[in-house]
Amino acid sequence: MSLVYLKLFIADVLPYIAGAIFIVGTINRVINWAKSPVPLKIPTTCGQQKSLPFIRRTWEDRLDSPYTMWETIGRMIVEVFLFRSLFRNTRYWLDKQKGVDTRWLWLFALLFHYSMLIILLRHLRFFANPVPGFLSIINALDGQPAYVPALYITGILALVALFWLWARRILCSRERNISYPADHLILALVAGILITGNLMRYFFKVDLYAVKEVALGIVSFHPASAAVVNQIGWIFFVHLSLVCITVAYLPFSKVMHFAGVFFSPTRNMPNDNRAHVHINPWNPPYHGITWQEYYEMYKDQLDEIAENGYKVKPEV
Amino acid sequence: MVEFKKIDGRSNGYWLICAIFFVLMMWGFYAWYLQLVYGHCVTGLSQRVPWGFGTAAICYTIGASAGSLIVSALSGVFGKTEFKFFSRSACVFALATIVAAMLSIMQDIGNPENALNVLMHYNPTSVFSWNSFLYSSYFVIGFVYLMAQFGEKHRITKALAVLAVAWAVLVHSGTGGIVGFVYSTDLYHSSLTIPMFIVSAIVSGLGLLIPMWLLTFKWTNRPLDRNLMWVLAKIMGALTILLLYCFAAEALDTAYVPGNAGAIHMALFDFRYPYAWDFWVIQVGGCLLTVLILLTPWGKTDWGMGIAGFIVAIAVYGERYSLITPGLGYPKDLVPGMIFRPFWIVPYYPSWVEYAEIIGLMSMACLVYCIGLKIFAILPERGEVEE
Amino acid sequence: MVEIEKNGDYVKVEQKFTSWRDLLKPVTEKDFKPGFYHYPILKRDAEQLGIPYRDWDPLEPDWKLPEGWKETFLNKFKELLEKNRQFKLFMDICVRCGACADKCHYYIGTGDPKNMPVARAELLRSIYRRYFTKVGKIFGEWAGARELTEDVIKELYYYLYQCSLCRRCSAFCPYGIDTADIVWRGREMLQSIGTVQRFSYISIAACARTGNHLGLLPGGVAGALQSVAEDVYDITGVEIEVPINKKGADILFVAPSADYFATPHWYVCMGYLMLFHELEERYGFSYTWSTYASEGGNFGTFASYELAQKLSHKIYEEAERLGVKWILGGECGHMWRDKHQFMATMNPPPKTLEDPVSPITGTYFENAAEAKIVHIAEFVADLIEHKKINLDKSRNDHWKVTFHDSCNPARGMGLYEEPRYVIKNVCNYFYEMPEHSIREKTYCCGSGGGLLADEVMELRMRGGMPRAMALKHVHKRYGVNYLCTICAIDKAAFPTLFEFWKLPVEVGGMMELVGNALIMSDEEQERELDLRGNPLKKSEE
Repeated sequence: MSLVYLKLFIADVLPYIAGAIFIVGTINRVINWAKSPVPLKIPTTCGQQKSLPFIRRTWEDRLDSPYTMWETIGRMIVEVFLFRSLFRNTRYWLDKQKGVDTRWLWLFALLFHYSMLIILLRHLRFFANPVPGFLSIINALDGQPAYVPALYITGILALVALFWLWARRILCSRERNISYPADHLILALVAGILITGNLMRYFFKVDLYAVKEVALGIVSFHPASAAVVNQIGWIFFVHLSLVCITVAYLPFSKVMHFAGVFFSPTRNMPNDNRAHVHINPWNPPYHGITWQEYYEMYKDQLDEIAENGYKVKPEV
Repeated sequence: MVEFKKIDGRSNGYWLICAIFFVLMMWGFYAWYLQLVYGHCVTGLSQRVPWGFGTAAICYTIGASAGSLIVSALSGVFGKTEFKFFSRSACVFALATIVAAMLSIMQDIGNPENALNVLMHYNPTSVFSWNSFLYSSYFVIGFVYLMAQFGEKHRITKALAVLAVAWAVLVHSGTGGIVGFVYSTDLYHSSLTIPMFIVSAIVSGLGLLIPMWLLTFKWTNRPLDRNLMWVLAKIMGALTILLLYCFAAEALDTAYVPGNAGAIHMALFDFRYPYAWDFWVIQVGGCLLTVLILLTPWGKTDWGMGIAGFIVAIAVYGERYSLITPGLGYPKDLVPGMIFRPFWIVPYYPSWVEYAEIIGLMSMACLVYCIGLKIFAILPERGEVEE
Repeated sequence: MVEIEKNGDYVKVEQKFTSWRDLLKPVTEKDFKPGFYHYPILKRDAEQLGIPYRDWDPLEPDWKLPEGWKETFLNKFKELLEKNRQFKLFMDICVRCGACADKCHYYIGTGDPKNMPVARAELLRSIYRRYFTKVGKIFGEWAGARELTEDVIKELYYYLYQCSLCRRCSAFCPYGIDTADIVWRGREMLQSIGTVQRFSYISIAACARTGNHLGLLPGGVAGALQSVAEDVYDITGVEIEVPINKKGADILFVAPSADYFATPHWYVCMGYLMLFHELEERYGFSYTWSTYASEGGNFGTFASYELAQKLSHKIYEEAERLGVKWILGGECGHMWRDKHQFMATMNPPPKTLEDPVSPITGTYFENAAEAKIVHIAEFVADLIEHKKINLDKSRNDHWKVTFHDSCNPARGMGLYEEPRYVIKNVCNYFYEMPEHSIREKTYCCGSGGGLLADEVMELRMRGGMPRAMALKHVHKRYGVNYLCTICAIDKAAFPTLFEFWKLPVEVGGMMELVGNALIMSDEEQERELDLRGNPLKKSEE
């Protein structure tokens, strides 16, 4: 009997709590960042600045050291969607004292994030009736129809990439050094979500019609009834509660980097400091000597220079 | 110590080449898309000739890959530092072409997800099953070999070079085995096919790589030792002569059997059908022309070596075509007395879709090579030994 | 653990790893290694600059922190968080991916895990979490938070002055987290409780008083420039009049004070004088030096916002007073971080300045339109492109040159091609160092950001190891014997560094090479010596 109440709680109440915490928390964080002013324009210039016309400045330089608003937008796009900075990553071989490219972190981070994106998009089919057209394209590309149910590559890929990233965090001494429990926690949560999701799809199958009713109920504020909820197997509730816990935890964790990256002044500002001077809203007034005070301090020496016609000549 | 350095890759020429390869690759993928949607009727294949350009492309790309990997491993196997210049770029090209080969298998199948049957219902007595294992493991070995080179781990690289050569020979022998083992068709089942495949692999690999390297070093303004290229060109020429000898031997051997007379006549002498044209003009003619070019003084120049390589690369493609299709074109006497319709010679003319597919795949391999030049250090700073 | 050859010995470089728990335990004076910690600020400098002072020794357990230091520190932390969006952001969004970890030259050279940029930022982040986030308050150590104790201040003092603010880590971070900015803020917080180093503040105080870091009075500046002119006369036979404090000149020239005081900066100064004299002779170029604005550099950028503002104010003030059209800046690294990204924001440019147009070529320096300060490399590249000066490249044939991208012009300005363009036009032999050590991935000299002090010599030498090894590579391969750099601290740090790492490579500036190659119209005889007094190749024949 009490199990139904637990299921009802997870299906009907928890998502709202988690969603509220997530939305309020994220907005709070973002407003907190936005409230503070940006005193200085400090882009990290990783390419040739805009200069004289004959100085070579390729499109890669434009994206790494942007001068106009569009180039800056381009830089942000390449950073957010292609992880530009991670692509630049190198490893320093201490024994040979030289640096070499290393793109594994870039590859697996990209795979993980894109797989997660596609997984999230695929889940939209639960939240909309009728199912939007573009989802069938994703299903066609992602699903391996030779299997029944179709094997979703991204489901497996996300898990593989996550475990690779987690293994890196555990096995590489440098990473292990700087990994806090919070880092492992979020990885464990996401791993739990992916594993339960995959298990639910291929092994411990649940009544998907009922799941869709629950999902539609959440977004339309018509909570599903006990009868519907009872039809669904236990693993769905594990999956949903893990999702809710993770979503609620997000605003308090480092995963806020998804919003923070857009505010980072080292990436989202153009490198046109001398052409368009940045105004610091709280620039304090100058405290220091003026030229007059300087002159008073060193009057005789300055007058001597003046007497020589404001120049010095070599004594030959 | 060979220094490998990325190319700058910022000139208009570079972007133009990449763009051309990209467009050709997209054209090839579009052709494949049409084939997926409309079925194999867009190709020139028929019920009698179910293996055509697609299969020839598979054999060709596997051969190019195996050949490139063998060339790449030359320095590791023979210990000559000069050949180390080419190790990385040839290995990258080998990996790109084996991926192209896998894609051409997918193309040929029609329903790509049927490929999973190999995993789910493995038939250990089939040459195809052996090959599927060999191709996958070949990619892994090639990849690890490339990683060992990037990691500058010299002893592991040497060991892997030997393994890579052995595996490349095994892989391509397996491909040759498809045609060589089958005995139901008159023109198949020759034991010479397997070693000939290896020779053609090295020839086609060199035929593609020599012009590629000549152009790459020229367009990136890096010095290249022409004597080294000439050594490679000579190897290519010698093996082409060997190849011509194999063609003759195989043709005579098959023709000696009285029962094969009709098939041989169609394949070699009946100029109403494309098979004979391909054999004499593209295959034999191309190889002869290559050898002739290399024998003249012009053959020692960049243009000579490059064009000779390109011609023999196409000639080997013609060889794959003539290995596979004539045997199918000639009516088969499978079971004595049974009439296997149509009981006449069926010519096979490939359609633009099939041309597009092979060109698209080779362009994809070249595009991977071009991009690899820029984002990885696979080209040596100087292609010549320093004093 | 590797052993790298240095002069007369080997240096052991070993990477040490700890656990995350140990990372939160502060390093105290017991573990301070000699050669890695700075001496504390001097009384007179602290008093001049209004920084709380007391007499303390970093090696003593009791640092005599002022009354209510914890509150002061945390209040300053809060204030800086509120005023600086990027500081707040960088405290929040690090995901500990470790991409930055082995990018810091100090980490590579010392192997100390707290020199990893991520760990250096965590020193402050752990305090931030404890006092400014709910999760940190509740979960403490498990959330990576720690109490602010005296030991933590000691650790901050130790590690915040082991960063040269080069921003190399920020180039590799997926979000561009700028450890240099975090360290700058951290140093500001330490400044609020007077626990700061000595070296930078000597120069800051001198500059606030006399207009240059060296503390040279106007007569001293004039005398130094006169000596430079005399050396130019010895080499070229041309008498150059150096304008100082001249009103009505077209352009105010500001260079780092080391240029007219130290070697090998001296040769660069000779190059400046020769070039400007040549432009004056041929085109009537009019410029002036200034004794008030006699320092292009700005050590305040290593200390706090207010001190940086204090030291760069005089440039625009002098430009307005002298009535010049725009400002030309010399070869200095952090000067250009300051002049490009900070100065015009901290001190609004005066309205009397005009748009920077080269009086000789007519080129409009569009990228300096509002701040009105142009880099000498941009200026000279423009002159060379328009063929306004005559150059003889063969005079630099005895130098096989490589170019070191200094941190700040590279990652704070994007000045890569201009100096290379100039160098390629004044010398015949130019080679680039390995790709992962140049341009945006350039390694710091190890002595920037206020670390050019003798007491941290071992830190500097270890920090400069990656750069030295990259140079060794081209030295062995191409016989490079001249490292060209456009930063004054580089020129001061590299000679010691290369001697330490056993590299027989000379250090010099871009303008020295230009000066060598410059064919002066009023030079009567063939040039026989280069600016260092070495005989040129030709005259040996």
